[in-house]
Amino acid sequence: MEKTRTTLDIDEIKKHPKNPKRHNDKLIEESIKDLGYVDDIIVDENNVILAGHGRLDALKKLDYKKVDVIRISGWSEIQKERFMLLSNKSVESGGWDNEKLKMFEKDFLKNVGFQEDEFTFFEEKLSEINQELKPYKKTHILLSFPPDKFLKIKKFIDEILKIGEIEYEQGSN
Amino acid sequence: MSKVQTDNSYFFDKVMLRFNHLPNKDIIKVLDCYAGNNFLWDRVKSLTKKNIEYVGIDFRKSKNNLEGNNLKFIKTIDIFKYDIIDLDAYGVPYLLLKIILDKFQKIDYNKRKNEECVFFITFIQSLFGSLPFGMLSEIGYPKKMVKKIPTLFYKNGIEKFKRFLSNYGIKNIFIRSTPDKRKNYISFVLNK
Repeated sequence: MEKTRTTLDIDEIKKHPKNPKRHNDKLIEESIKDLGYVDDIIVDENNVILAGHGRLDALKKLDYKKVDVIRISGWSEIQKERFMLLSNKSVESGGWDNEKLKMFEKDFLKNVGFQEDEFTFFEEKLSEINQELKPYKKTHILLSFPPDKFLKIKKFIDEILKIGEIEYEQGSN
Repeated sequence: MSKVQTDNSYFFDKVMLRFNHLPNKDIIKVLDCYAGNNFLWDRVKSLTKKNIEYVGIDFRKSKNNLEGNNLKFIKTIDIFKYDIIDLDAYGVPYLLLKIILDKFQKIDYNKRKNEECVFFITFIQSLFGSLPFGMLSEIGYPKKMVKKIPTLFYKNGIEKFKRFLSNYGIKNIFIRSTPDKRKNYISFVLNK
């Protein structure tokens, strides 16, 4: 496989006859209009697109005449088709990290194509409670004993608990 | 600084806790002791029209950070200049909070400005997570006792943390907790 960069007349670039991917044409067009043509189209040695069908449509609408491309030579037809599908599928299947998306403002996300129904992650998940803290003034005694002495000790504990305001917790190591 | 990791879960809850309890001032000075990349306060700033003067502390370089150990910085910084002190730790920010609360306790009664300082604390205890010996000792469980059976004393960490806060005269908190009570986002006010 050989990878080169070149510039082609836009009419020299041909769409792949089996490309199944649909695009958000308006979003791609707005992106190129706003930020420029950054991500080069990838073509084979016959100038057939392997990645960048949406970009070609947008560039035509924006009246580009010359287009920088990355040319890949030396792949079999199977390899070309595999790349054409993988380059879209790998991005599509990645999904989004909602916790990180929340670091952006809603309007900013809307401007790059996110839809209102995708914003459920902006909802607060936890309810907020106003709590009064009361002073906790108690003395603590830790009683450690072998398990087989428990029954002998328990009757005393039961007596102690009758005094009231006494908390009892048990654990073992 | 005890932990470098930051807690990015429940991000929007943390943002809204801060937004809901911003002091009623036009210019608000914030000291963020676990600043990370400043994402949290950048987000709060985007929601409010108030002027937020922000200083962060973190080992990580970021636009508004003092770079380094927050335990060292906090000893030299005049914390009373700030309207908000934020301890968004990944864990229990006991040591840092103790230093700060001790400073608040030592304010000369006659020199009090009677202004409010809002605290935001993140308290996270993992499933088998320990609690700081110092904190347990302050609420009456000495290290010797805890060491005999640590799991008994590590139970229900957030309730123990509340007792610790109560010992410093904090009477009221706003809290958002996950159902398992392991992640807790707290706000309270102290006078300075």
